[in-house]
Amino acid sequence: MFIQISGQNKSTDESINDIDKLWKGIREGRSESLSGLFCISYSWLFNYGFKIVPKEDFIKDTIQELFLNVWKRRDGINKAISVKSYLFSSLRRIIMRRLQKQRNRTQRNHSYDENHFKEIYNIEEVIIHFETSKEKKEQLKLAMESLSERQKEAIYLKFYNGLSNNEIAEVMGINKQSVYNHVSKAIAEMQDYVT
Amino acid sequence: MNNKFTLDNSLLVKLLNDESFIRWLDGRVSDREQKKWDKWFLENSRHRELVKKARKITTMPFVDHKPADLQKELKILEKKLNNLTKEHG
Repeated sequence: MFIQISGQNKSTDESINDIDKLWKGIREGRSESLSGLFCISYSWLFNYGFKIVPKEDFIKDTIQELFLNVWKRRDGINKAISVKSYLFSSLRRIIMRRLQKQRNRTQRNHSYDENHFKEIYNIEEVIIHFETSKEKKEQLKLAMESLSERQKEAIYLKFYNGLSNNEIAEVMGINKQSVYNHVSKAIAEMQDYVT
Repeated sequence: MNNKFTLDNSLLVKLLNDESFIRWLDGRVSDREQKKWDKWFLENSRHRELVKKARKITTMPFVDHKPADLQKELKILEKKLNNLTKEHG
């Protein structure tokens, strides 16, 4: 695995159509549709999961579990309003459940939460992107670091993955107003540096 | 330095929480939305400045963790699916 800097991972209308078609295929019992959805969504699911728990094998396993669950439950799954947010929220639940199991087993308090959405932006790249002055560099760094995990997760889902506030609320298990607040506070921190 | 509470900044926050505006910014809007936002954009220079700022924020470079081998993972999934099918006849 390697790390690179990237722009957004937003779905176009065309890819949303593809995802919806594949979802329909899965519900009709076509395993090739499951493989197709796996290929389309793997990168953004992996990226999201890795920001919650930065362990490659752990995230690969959780994605496998997610898709096996989708297949096992294909008869019962409904026509999800947003397949993308369904996949994100299901992956998040699996990760959290596995972390909880690990904690219960080891009876230790240390967890992956310390790393949860620690780094979503590459500060050096952001400084170039904002064309900010050297004087503001440290302030910008502090501003980025001062964002809470929830704020980072919300803006990551919004601006990198193109989810709506409703979809983010579903994924994060919070209400729409809380998403609005997280996004707004994060923007307020950043907008001082936009020239 | 801190200009977080100006009218334009409040408007920027409002715009970036508006799904229709985000769609327009990304170029994936309906014709009706396109016309509405195009008109708004041309109304005054303040709006053009806000769009510039909004674009800067929505296109900030994220760290991307690229998984190594998708084909390998796909094979693992397909093997598990085959086993599942065998188990359930």
